[in-house]
Amino acid sequence: MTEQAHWSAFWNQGHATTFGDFFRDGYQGSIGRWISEASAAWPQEGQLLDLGCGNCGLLTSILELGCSLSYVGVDPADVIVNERAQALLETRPNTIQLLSGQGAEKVALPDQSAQVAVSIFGFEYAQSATAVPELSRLLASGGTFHFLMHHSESIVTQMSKRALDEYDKAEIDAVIAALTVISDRAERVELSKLKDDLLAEQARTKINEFAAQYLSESDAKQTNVTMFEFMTTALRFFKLVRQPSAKRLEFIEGLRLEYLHYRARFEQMMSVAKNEAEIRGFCELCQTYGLTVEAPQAFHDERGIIAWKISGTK
Amino acid sequence: MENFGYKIVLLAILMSVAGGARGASLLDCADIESVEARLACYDELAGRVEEKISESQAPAVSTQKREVIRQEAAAVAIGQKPVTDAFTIKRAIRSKIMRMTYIGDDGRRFVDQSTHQVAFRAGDRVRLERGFMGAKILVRSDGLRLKVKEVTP
Repeated sequence: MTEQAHWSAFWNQGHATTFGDFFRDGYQGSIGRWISEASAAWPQEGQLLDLGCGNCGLLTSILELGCSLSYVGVDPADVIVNERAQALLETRPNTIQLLSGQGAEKVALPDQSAQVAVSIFGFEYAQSATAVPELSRLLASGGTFHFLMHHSESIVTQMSKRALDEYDKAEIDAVIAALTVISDRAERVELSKLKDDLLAEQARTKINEFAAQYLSESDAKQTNVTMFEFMTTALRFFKLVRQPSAKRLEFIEGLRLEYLHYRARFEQMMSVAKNEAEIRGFCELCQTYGLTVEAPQAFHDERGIIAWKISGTK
Repeated sequence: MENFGYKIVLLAILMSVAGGARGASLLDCADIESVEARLACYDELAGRVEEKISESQAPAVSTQKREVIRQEAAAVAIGQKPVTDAFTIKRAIRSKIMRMTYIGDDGRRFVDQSTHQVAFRAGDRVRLERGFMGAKILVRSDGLRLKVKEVTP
């Protein structure tokens, strides 16, 4: 399964940002203020490139700011324009273009076609060696870029690490196997006799043990949030016991994939987060390709580091 | 867990009755300089607390109702009316893993976080209530209340 598949699955669920679970206010909070401040210097006309756009959360934000630039969203995953942006576009003159399935390494746009490039937790997923020269090619002379990139010490990275630490693959597999057994037995015996079926009961008992383990913690700090959410979701299966087998199996496969993608996304987030040496290396690469970069800064909110703040000019 | 939840409910009720129309809030009482007047304020408050505890512990009061009381109460206690706005649900999407997502006609997106089997449908008119600690609740015209998480960008 490709990296894009994990992200496509995420965006297909309709998420607007990758950081919604970490920053409740999303684009309205500190990140929204960062966009607002950056946009003050943007030109009135031209094209804005959103690299790693996801479902165009940034588009919503800039429309609400009254930005008049044309918007081009680029993302290697299958993405859409979120419903909020679609609703706003009904009354705005902005033109938009979505280049789904394209990474920042190779964007199907002419040279010097963008006056502004923005990336919020997107550009670092691309291969810098090819994405940086591509950025330089796409930016018009005097064009600016504004990136928030994953920081190795950020809240997002810490939470990603916690999610991975909490993720218990063996137990997730065991629950999914138990659900499969129950679904299979429900097909073979009458529903009314399912409780008397030894295999189904053994599977149900196993699930109950996991549920008791993960759902009974009263101290929020001690709760294994990942497994809590997994078990809460898994237990929805029992609402489907009376449904046709295909529906039950669809649920089980959906659950398996959901948590497969979940783990893969967090692993990837961790792998692209940059420490200070790495971010300096990135900035030097930018300069190699004619991009003037301001000194990288850690971007904070009241809870701690959010990201690396990178901005510059061609 | 139950005890922990009970403490939260009790605290919320304390705050709730404190903010009621009949009397001053807990903070109002604390601000009174005169010792006698301050004690009288607390006494009056305590009476209403007992009344509310009895009410909330009645067998007919569901966990969901307690949650609602708590959220509304806390908003009152801090001197704020719940902020509400209304819209129509344009799409109600049930995922393969039974997760409900609602999309409003203004493009806002909400994920259902309630434990109910019932769900809103496209065309339902709902209002958004903001509760304690940023909680969000969608309320349909027939009173169905579902806790949601807003995931609008």
